[in-house]
Amino acid sequence: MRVNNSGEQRTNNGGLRRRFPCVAMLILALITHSAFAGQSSDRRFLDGLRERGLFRLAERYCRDRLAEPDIPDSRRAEMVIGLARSLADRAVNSPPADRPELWRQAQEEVDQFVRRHPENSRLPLVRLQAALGLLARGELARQEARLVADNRPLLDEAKEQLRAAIRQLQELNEEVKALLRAGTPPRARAPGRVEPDRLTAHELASLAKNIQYQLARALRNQGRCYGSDSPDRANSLTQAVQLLDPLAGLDSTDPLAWKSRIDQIVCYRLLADYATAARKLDALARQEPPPAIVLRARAEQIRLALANDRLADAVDALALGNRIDRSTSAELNFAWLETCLAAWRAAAKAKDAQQTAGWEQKAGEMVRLIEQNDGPYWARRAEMLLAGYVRMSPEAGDLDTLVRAAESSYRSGRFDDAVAAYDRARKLAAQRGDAARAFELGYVAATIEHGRQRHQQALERYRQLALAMPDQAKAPASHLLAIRHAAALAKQQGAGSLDQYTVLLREHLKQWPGGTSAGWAGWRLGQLRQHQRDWQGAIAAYRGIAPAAPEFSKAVGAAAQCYSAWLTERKAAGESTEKIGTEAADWFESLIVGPDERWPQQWSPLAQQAAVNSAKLRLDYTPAGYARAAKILSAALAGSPNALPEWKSTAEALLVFSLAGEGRLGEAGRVLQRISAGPPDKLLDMLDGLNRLAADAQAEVRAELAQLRLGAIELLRPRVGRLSQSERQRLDRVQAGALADAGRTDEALQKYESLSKAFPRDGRIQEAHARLLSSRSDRASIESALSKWREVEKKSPSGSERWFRAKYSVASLHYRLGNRKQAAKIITLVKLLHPELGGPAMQRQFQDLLDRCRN
Amino acid sequence: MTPMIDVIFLLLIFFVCTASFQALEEILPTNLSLPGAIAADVPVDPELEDLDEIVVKILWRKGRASWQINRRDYVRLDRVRAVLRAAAQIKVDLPVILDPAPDVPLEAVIDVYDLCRQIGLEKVQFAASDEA
Repeated sequence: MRVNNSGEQRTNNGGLRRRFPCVAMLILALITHSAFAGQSSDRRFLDGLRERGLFRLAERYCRDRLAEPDIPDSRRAEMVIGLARSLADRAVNSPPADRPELWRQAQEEVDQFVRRHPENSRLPLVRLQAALGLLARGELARQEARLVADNRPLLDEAKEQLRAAIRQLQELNEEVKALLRAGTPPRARAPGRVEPDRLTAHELASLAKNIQYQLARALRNQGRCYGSDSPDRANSLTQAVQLLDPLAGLDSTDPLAWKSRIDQIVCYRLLADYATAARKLDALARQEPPPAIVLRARAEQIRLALANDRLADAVDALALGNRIDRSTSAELNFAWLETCLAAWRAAAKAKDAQQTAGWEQKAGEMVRLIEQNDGPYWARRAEMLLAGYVRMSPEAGDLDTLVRAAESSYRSGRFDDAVAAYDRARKLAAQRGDAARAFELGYVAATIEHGRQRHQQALERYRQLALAMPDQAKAPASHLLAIRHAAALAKQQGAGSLDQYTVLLREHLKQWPGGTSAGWAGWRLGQLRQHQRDWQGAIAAYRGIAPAAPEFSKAVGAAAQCYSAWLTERKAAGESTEKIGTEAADWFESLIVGPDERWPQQWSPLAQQAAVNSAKLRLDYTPAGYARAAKILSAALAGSPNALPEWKSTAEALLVFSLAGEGRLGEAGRVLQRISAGPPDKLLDMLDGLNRLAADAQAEVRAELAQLRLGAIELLRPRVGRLSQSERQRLDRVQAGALADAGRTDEALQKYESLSKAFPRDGRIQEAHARLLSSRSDRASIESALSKWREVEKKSPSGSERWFRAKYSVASLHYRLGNRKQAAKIITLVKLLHPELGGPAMQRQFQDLLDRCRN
Repeated sequence: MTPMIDVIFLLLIFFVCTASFQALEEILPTNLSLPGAIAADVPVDPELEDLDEIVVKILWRKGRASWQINRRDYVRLDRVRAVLRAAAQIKVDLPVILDPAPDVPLEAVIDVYDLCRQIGLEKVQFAASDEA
């Protein structure tokens, strides 16, 4: 979508060639400024910047001048007026969302001046600028209200601003009249005592006329805010006519004369007094006005004809042309556009397809012309007019026109209209067989809903688009966006609404199985199934991811977790695990072998991970898996000289375990000795690896691992004196764990007590200590365990996994001590404040305990 | 005349004796809870020792109040009411700490405070910063 924020952007985008004249003009203006540093040159300079849309530059210039010390009163007032005007002009030329801040800034500048410089002789001029800011805001709101479906808020805003402008202008008018009545100011009366900042009688008189003209303009706009038969409209417009009467009668050399005459004709037209309007228009033509006024008169002639239902006359007026020498008029171009649209409507009504298409095309061309020649303000008005017409005309059949209308609606914040226009454009493109364009337009419409955070609408649009045109390059991306919105909806509506998300993920995998996005969808589906503890579903999703996908590596790790959890559950339920364990181990091994069915020379990180996963599964779930595990681990260790230390220690620990399990105790011992002969940290790493294995292992395996660890510790004992403080602590930690796993609880407790004192902030040690205390059944140990678990709970972040475990243990120990009610209260409160209860596994444990407490 | 004065006096005495004086609104029966200022010499109810205190954070976003109860977000006051009511059913003297953000209007704080009192929660406190 095209964005046209301001004149500055247009200039910047125009490249060096288009920028050069502006820069040259700027330099010229700066030179002029330094040469003739008078007030009028400032004004000319600022006008030049604004005409070129360089509003920010104008603002900067004014702010810099205002920051100068000892700035004269008149110049200060002039700069404040310039600044407020530049801000107001920028607001008029900005998108609706940016305007309020700019209006506020403009108002603030003026208010600040009025507060700080109440004695400034140019105060009336600044106050006039304040009223003009309100007037501009009201006028803009009124113009835009004509073109939107629900125009009440804009009309209300217009009326409010215009009322305020009228009030201020009337007050100012009275004050200036009073000043004029008070007599000639000193500057004019006594040339010897010059007070250059004071307004002269002539300047005051000009100001009075200008206020009158602006008041008429405000009243005209106010009148247009009411319906055509409203007395309020008639009253406002009549007042405007009366105010313009003396101004229109001024000598033609007066700058307000011509403008007032034209404005008066406009008022008569709006009052539906077409005869007077036409008569005055003829009179104006006879007075030989300047080219700019001639062009405005032509615009008024067209509008008069259109208002009078004389379309043919309006069309004939187009023949007069829209430029005189080098003068053009945005108002006339706009009137031409209005004529094109009226002719388009008439042709469509008469079902003249050729004429309809012709006028539709001309309307598009006029909008482009206005865009090129008349700046962003008029371009936006033209686009809005076109968009408003297209919205109300089902016969609009030009794709570019529809897209332009949609863009205009989007830019002016009317998103529903924009989406509707894009839909029409999409259908039109599809009818013409331009599938790529149709897809693109549908995608933009969906993206508008996406930007509005309307998840259901965006989901449906992205999905339908992707499924309707699955061969389009962006179709998978569109479907992925639909999935993301389904996820957002599920998040909003709770866990029960995941069905749609699941359906979309499956649909994606089915529709684009080989696409680059399939890996992402497979990974998400696997995660969802894993969260739901549907291990088979999760494994299937993870295994379905192609090896080339970026998600494959982490999918292998996640699949290993799922296999482990699934097999643990089956084992706990007394079901067979051998078949699944073997199948899983085979799958992990299949990831290692190359096309020649051999193990690689150099093992990749993925192959290393697969080897460890396979070995673990064989050791835990297959009866004769030790030999196979030892073989694969030996090969993996041999082929991975640069593997990460963590992996290496795990693989070595597994190797020791598998050799011992196979009955090759001598070899296991040799491996242990080989490791222990090396640096102690290597043996400690291996011990950590055995610790990690023990944490996930079954009870009997854990006991065997404990024996191995204790054996290794014995090997290290002769060198304990040479270990560093941190290495000794590591060793103590491993030993305490091994003693606990080996069933030597008293020794383990002793070790843990000293460790607990040494590491009061170490959650793992404190938790292991508490767990070990809980394993005993005497009342004193249970009470000690309760106290320890409380300590763990207090030191853990609320809602963390350890915190939930501590909460559960506290409740469980209360239960064991016979405090069933207290245990039930603890669980109920935890459940109330943290409904997720630390995940499905903990949820089940909490619920089981609660049920036991209530029975 | 005298009997009338007697009657007026009797009526005056009657109204003075039967009048109930409404507590001033600013005297809210609550305490300030300063971080680290939990009095060590106050005997702790053993039942409360393992029950969490309820911390209600009151936030002000986009001109509307929203709430967090023990870090969990709530956007509707009736959901807050349901949680607090369920908490009161567990134990009415569970400590409830109201922790309003600095920009929250007083009315929004009072709403939650009133809610706690209506539900019957007995121990409502206000969290305060160290500077308070």
